[in-house]
Amino acid sequence: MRLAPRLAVSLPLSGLFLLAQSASQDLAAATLAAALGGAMLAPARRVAGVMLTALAAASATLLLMAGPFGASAVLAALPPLGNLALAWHFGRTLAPGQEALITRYTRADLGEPAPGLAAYTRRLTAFWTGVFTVFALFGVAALAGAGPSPGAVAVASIALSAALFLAEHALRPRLFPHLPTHPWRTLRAIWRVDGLADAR
Amino acid sequence: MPAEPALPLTARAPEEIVFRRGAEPVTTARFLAEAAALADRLPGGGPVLNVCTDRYLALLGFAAALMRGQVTLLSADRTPQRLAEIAARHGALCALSDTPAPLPLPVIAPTADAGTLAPNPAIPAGRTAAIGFTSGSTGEPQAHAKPWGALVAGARAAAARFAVAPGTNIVGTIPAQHMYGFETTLMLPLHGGGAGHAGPVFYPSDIQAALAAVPAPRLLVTTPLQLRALLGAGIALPPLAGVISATAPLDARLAAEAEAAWGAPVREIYGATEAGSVASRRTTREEGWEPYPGVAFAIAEGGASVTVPGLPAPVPLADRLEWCGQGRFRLAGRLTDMVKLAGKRASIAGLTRILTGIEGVEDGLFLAPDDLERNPRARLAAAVVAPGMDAPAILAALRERVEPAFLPRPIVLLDALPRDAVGKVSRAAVAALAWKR
Repeated sequence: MRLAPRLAVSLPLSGLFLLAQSASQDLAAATLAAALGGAMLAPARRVAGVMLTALAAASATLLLMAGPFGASAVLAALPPLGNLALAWHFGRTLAPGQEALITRYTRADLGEPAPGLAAYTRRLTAFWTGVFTVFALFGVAALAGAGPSPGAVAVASIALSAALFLAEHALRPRLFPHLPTHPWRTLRAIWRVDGLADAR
Repeated sequence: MPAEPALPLTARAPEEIVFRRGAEPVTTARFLAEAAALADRLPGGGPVLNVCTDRYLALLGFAAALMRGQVTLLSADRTPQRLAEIAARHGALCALSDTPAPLPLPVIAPTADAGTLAPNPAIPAGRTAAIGFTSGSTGEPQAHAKPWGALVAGARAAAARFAVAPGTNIVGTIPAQHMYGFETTLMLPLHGGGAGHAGPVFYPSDIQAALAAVPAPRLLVTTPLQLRALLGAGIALPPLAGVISATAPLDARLAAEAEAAWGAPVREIYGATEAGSVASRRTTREEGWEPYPGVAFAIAEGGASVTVPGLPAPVPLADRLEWCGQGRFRLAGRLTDMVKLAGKRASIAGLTRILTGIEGVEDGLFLAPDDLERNPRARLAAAVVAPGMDAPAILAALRERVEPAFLPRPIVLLDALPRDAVGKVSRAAVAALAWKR
């Protein structure tokens, strides 16, 4: 997945989304958020394709909001949808014959991982798939009126994701003391892999 | 070539960039001032054990010792026990280290302190500037004295051979204490051209970041092990002007893959700690090695030797060499690893090249048991890293390329060969793994 064209489209959209939200323009905010999600998940390599997907996502959202769902309901549904998208992004790389996503990031950082490290990064990919799936389920439950509010679940899932990310980086040096580990290295590897022309 | 009586510490003009610390350029004048400031901190007399990982600090330490007339000890083996042995055996009075070093002698942390402008001293060409130690992959590490004149001649020859353009940035992945790394990333900026990158870098993403941090033209000085890792990482590198590889034979297929990926020529250096770098070739195009300017090879039935400018005597080589025309030679295996089985001779290094050339084999080597000569039932063994392949598949691939007498038994599948930082394998460690069962 190439990151650069996605960011070229999604960053301006993010700015507009924040503006719309701060002005309590739910309809515009929900449409822009959907466009943002479409841009980040677009199965396209070039800016034009990313823009088209964003436009399609925005149009679909507008139609939904014009129908039985209100703008605020669509906005509230976006966090669990985002978590589901992330679960899919990680989980699909666990299919037979595929290289697990975090194994790919590790290979970009350190070269071909030894079997022990490859097994660990594969398990880690499965773990994150599970984490995002659980977050999505909690989000859906919140939407259905069970537990805390959808907004609280969304904030908690972001905070927990960050905490888990940092905690894993504290654990990894204990398991692989000879390898360099730092959140910055991981983010750099993600950027490099996603920036590749032939990346997934 | 008769040795010159004295040679300057550096041949670079004061305003030239001789090194880069990250993105920060260091001019020759600043380097000399910082080296002089560090020289003032060194205790007098006795060799200096230099174990700095930052390449610029390693260079400062080397230059400071030279300014004081002291010898620098360079050991690629960084284990505390080995370093302590070297320090004790050679009477080192201090060590220079930029990382915590548990050593039984005073450790000075070098700093790049801006001193006042310092002169570019002339160093007697015959004075021992450094003592390098063989890696130990072929036996007990041996000390090899390096006269200043030999180091300078080697740097000049390398600069001529690799046509290091002004402004070239040299990113090295080999420790500065390894003789190959020392010559190409410390001596080359001092007396050849280009600017060294301080590093240290080892992993693919760090190599990529180091290359991206310096302007073009970029020269990557590395090893076959790291070339393979870089290609396997599947990350894009900034444009390269060239790649240099040494420390182990470079598979022609790997060299071709690297040239295709990076669009830059991959050149291989032939050398040894005893002699330094003495020849090179473009691996994808040339089988024969071209001697460095001024270097003379003598090849005889019993072995080869090389005469290197600045070294007092010809250096015997551990490899078997054969002339192959146009003043070039080819390597025909190491003297110690020629094996004879069923009346046929083969080189362990040659068999290893065939093994690692098999599709799916990531790493590996052939081994000869100690009793090969006297035990008629003895067979060669192979240690192989080939995820996704089993021993019969490897044997089948070898059967197409190797005489039956040399087919290995057993084939030991390993997750990784025990290698040091530059990719040298401890054969004793692999043998213990291969014949433990």
